[in-house]
Amino acid sequence: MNLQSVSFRTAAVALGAGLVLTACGNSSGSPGTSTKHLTLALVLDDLTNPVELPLRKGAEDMAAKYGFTLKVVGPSPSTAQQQISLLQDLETQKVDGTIILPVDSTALVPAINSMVAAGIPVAATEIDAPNSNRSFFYIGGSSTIDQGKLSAQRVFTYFKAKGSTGTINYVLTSCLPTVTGQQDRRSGFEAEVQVENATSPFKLNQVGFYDTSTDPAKNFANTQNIYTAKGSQIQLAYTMCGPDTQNWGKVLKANNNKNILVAGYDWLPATLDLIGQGWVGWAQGNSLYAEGTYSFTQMYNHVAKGTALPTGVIHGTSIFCDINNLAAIRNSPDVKAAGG
Amino acid sequence: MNSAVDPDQARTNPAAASTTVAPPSRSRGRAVLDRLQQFREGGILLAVLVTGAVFTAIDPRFIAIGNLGNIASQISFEGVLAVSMTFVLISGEIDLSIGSMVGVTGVVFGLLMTQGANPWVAVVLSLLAGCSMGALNGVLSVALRVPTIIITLGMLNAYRGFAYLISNGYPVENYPKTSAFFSIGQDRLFGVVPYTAIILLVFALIGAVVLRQTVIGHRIYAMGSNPRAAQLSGIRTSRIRIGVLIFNGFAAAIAGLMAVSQTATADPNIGIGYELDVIAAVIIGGAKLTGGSGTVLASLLGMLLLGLIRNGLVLVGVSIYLLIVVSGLIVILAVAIDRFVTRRRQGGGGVQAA
Repeated sequence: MNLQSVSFRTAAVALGAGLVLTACGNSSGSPGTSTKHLTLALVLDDLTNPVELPLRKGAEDMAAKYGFTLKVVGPSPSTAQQQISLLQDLETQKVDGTIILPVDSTALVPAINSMVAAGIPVAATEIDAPNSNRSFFYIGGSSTIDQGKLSAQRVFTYFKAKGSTGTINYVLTSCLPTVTGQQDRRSGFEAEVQVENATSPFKLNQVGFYDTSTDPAKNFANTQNIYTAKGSQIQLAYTMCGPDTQNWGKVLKANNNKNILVAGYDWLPATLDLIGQGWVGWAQGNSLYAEGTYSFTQMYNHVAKGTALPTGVIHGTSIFCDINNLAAIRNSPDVKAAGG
Repeated sequence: MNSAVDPDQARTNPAAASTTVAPPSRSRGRAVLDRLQQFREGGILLAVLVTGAVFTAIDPRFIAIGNLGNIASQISFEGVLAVSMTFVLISGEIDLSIGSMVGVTGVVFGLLMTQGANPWVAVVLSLLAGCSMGALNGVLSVALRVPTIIITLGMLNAYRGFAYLISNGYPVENYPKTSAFFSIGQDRLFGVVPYTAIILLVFALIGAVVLRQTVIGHRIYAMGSNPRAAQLSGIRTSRIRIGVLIFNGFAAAIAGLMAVSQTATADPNIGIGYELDVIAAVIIGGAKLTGGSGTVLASLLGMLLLGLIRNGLVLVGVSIYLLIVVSGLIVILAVAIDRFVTRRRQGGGGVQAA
């Protein structure tokens, strides 16, 4: 008999036995006392949306800080069906906890509940799934409906300060018009416009709602077309996506047109440049970095130390980046994470 | 053996067209239509003209120079792809991975730029990357004896995943954007003609000459018309298959670079869904999925038609969801007009050679 092979077999058996014992120990221990390596998942609504980079960065920083494995997944293109499949896969893989940014607040409910029923804690960030069994929802800014309302309030403040009267036409654009967060922003904006129109010396009037596409080149092309169609009629473009905001700024710059206010979203580096140059009025933003750090800190403390997860909705207030606070926004971890 | 030539094929296959006899003269009232019929791409040209006339009648801004420049710029990326896809479809093959190759080449360029590469060196390396992906498609198809539709269906995901992998899913944009390279996508000659449209025209002209005037072009038609006969006549069909797919990868790289030049961002999402737009444009232009038929000009007109529809529907204010419905229906209408003109030619005296 070969001594080397005996040694090898013995070592293999010992290793195998050790692994089995380790696994048994983990499965029988409570979450708070487990010493096994933890895997937490971040489920994005769009794997490559640049706006969500700070969220990923916040999660990655927490993974480095606490030493857990971070699994980042997301559908591309952004569909609820794909995201449901991803959740089912994570449930099969038995990750230790999941933070999700749902594509659709309603469609994801059964998949989230299934995961929770399987013993995997789930929390939502940026977009809520309020009817699910998720533990908490954290947003590093206002709720998405309030984001729309805040934008409308700011638009009215802007035009009132200019002494505007009569009708102010505007277009509304979205790169993902069927996603819940975008629909919330739209409904919040439109609801607040109705309220403000009742007492305002001028009336905001929507003359078009457009899908601009998430493909960067098509988004730019669509923005050019919308500008050609409506540019001469409007004084406001309410752009609900980061790429839309950026491309509206680019198109106005190319046409040397400062008669249209771009009221947009998200702190993409190029958008901040356009704010500095005066082509974009402002871009509302949340701290997605904080969403990553907060959510994963809570989830890690729960699965590693047994700390109770928060419940309900936890959020702050959105921030408008404009020419006045541009320098401070540029230095924020959110902008740095996005390459700014 | 039936020596009659399929009139639809004769319309777009120069070898076949040479065997048709000219139709007899028509009444004066039909002069314009007759002229269009005699023109090989007459059907699709008529569809383009009708579409343009309708949109102009509804909104005269449609025909404004600035808007036409926008349309030219907007179709230039996919137009380059339509040129190369014409070669692929004529040869009887198909490439579903073209949009993903656009994404990879854009990201490759961006990553090279972040490493401090000279922009023009990065352009050359990105073009090589495109050719390499096309070559891989071709070699896999030939070596594994698997149809290109299957290979490129797999590669559609593999290349897109590779784009995400090497970019870590992030748009690559942290590089200097002062090079003249970025002016190509963002500036216009005399402030009117987009440079990307000029690139498209030059590329299409070269493509058309190769396809119609060279032995290689005639072999591509022959292979698509009857692969077995082409093989028996000594044409190395495997080489042609690999060659057209390399050309497609090359075109994907050009489109990817044009997109990065315009947006100044190497986004791994660039190109998603382009394959369907491009194949639709080539089919609208009269090419057949079964091969042996099609011209570069017709494919460009097909892409122009799609561009006109996208632009025009926004201008006339069609709602975003109805726009998707209408754009699909207009494509069918355009193909119907094209086929109507073709049938008129056929019925109006397109006597076939015996």
